[in-house]
Amino acid sequence: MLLADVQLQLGSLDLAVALRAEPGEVVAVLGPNGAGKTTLLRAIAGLTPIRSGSVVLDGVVLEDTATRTYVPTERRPIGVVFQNYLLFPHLSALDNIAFGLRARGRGRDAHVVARRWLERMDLAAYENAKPAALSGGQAQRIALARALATDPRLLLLDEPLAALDATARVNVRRDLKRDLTQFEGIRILVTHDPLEAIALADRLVILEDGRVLQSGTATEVTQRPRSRYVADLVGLNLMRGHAGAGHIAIEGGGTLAAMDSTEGEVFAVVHPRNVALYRSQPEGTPRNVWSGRITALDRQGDRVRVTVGGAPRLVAEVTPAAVQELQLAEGGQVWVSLKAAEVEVYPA
Amino acid sequence: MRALALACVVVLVSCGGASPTTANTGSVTVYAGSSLADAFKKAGEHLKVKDPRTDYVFNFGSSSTLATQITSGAPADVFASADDVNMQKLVDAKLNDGAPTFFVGNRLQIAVAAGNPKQIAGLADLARPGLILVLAGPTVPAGRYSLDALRKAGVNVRPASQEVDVRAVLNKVALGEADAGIVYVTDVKAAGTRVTGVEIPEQHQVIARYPIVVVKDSKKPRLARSYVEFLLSDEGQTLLAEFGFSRP
Amino acid sequence: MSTARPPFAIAALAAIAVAFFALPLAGLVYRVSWQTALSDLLTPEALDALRLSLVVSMAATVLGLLLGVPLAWFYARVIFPGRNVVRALTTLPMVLPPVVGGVALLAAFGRRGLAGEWLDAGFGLRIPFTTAATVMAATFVSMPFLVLTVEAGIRSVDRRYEEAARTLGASQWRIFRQVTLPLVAPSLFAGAVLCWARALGEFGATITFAGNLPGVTQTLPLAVYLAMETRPEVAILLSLVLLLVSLAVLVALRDRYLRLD
Repeated sequence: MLLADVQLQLGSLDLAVALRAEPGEVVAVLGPNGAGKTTLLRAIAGLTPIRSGSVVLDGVVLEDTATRTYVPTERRPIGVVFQNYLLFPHLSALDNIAFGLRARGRGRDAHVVARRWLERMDLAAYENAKPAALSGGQAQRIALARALATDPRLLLLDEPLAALDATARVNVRRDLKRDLTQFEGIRILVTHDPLEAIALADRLVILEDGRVLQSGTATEVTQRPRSRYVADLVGLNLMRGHAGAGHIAIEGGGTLAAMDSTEGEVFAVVHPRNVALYRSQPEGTPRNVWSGRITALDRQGDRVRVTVGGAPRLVAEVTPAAVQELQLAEGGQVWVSLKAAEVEVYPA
Repeated sequence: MRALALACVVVLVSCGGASPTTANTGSVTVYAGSSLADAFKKAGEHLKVKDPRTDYVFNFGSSSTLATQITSGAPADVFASADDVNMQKLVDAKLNDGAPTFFVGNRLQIAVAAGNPKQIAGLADLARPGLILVLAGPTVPAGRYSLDALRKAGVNVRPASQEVDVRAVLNKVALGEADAGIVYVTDVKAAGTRVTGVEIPEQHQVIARYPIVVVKDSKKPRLARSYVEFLLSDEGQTLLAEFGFSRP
Repeated sequence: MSTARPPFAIAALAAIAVAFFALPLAGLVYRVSWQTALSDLLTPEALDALRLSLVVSMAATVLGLLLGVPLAWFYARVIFPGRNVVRALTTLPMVLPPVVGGVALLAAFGRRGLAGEWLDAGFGLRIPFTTAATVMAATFVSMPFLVLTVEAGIRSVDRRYEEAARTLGASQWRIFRQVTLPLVAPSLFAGAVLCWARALGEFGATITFAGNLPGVTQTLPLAVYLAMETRPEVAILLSLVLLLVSLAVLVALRDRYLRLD
């Protein structure tokens, strides 16, 4: 099991993360660029110094600022797959894979073990090829084999599919999933691609601005997003506010009527499908009605997402026909209507 | 494009040939063996006082190097060599304007550190094991003369270095890098207190006779001849004697 | 690469540049006295000078590699106080006239020099006029070329390869040997070749510091200089030999190791 509780500052990034990972699950750290994902991974690997905190792997303290313990990277039982693979350009595929074995004193049968890995990756024919002669997908597989060859306890992957083009990505992702499943140690990957995270991982950890905002399965995280990032990912309206007596005072202005009895700090989620738009003030049962100005119109396939400014700001999803009928245009005034029952509330 | 053309013209002109002054004023270029350095510079100053319109430009070095330079086309007006062998190179190449004349003589002397700490008494001591001896190279006049003297004295030496000219020998001794070197008496005199001279007896001595000549195709033949005539005159000979040179 | 015809002005200037370098070589070939060439070459003086030059330039290159590579590594990797001053100091021989370098070496290692005095008094070690002095003079002027080239090479090595090696369990020493050095190899070769070529042609510092004695300190450049005065045909022949040897080495190594792309 990995227990990493690290705080550090790097440039404008202020990172404070407590991460836990068990052997049975693949953990994906997901977040926008600049969130600190790679920095976190490097801190766990011992490549970036931490200001305070500790990293403990299988009960062994790899780093602890309180006791001034620091095990250098080269003595940590880890394997890392870097974003651009970083295969040694002057060594063949075989020698790349064998490098770690030789470095850790298992030089005698290094090439035998390396060859076995090549066969496993179905790349035995490329034994003597130099990295420059390999395709992106092949290089990724070799990089993975190189990291796994030394039987690490912890496997770290930094954006493993980012350097591949769309077609390669699908195939390599499938192979990577299989390889990850077969590996018995702890597996942590970082990515900015939610599809990658959902496809490869069992548990998602959402990282934004150096802080963990949410952790859970893909379903849990997307159904109950706790960050604009995830909400935007799944196309939901996410608001934060204070709930009391059936009303939620939304952070940033506005009030929403909800049917939930939860009190205190809450997240309010509204699906754009449930937001109705009118030319003039509607009279009806929905208790959330207000007027606003259209700030954006985005056509997405057979839907149009209409962003209406106001308090609160909401995105409505309507058909192109409706847009034409109501003559909706940027800058135009429009009325918003939303049923209280369609406001999903959960504690923050 | 025009700037480029202009630049080319400037470069070519600045590399160009003689300065466009008249043939009777201007500068005289004198190539002379390095042992003549101090004496010739003084002669040049002396003559400039007499005739301020004329400049003297000197190029000192090993006579053999200078002879090669002149035969390769160097623009010398006068050539003064420390021996006849090198002067002959010019004559063979038909670069002499008139027959060369011997104008001074010189003798050899052993140069040692000031105060003669190693107590060198003569040529025989130069073969002492552990003594660092430098000589001018065998193609340099002083070098040939040195080998002659050593042969006459029946001394076998193992020099540590063969210097490019006699002044380099003097400098190595003056710097303390070498214990001894064979140079001209004029060199020891010029070095003043930095070195001490040890006499070489008559029977081993070599008299160097220096020829001088005006170079053919000199652009300043009249001035060049005046320079030579001055050196051959009583006034000139007295000046040269101050530096230790003898009559030819 | 564009296949359009290059502008005439540029082509003309480039042609002049080529002629500038090609004519001297052609001139040497033109002036060589071929009948006496073999006998001239096989004289003990010429062979001595050739042998000595090769030995000295090789020794200077080895010394340059031994001392220069660690120095280059320091410049590229370590930030220490006064780094710029130190680096300027070790680059100085590149801009100094070689004779000045020779004078400086004398002032340091000559019999009355800063270190030389102590070496002489304490160990009876005298450096000027020895072959060692020739090697020192050659190394002094040529090592900066090696240091500069190798430093640039080490700087350009992606540090992340070294990080990757660390995650695979490699020690610092193994990383240097098996990752950094191989990646720097092209620069090492280029630096060594530049160093060797400069050492081969060294004259001013050699004649000032080491002196001139056939078989001991009279390297090929010195022999050529002196031969010019008595036997110019020997000078021309030796110059041609030196030029052809250097040309052969440069051509042989150009494609593989001096590639700058």
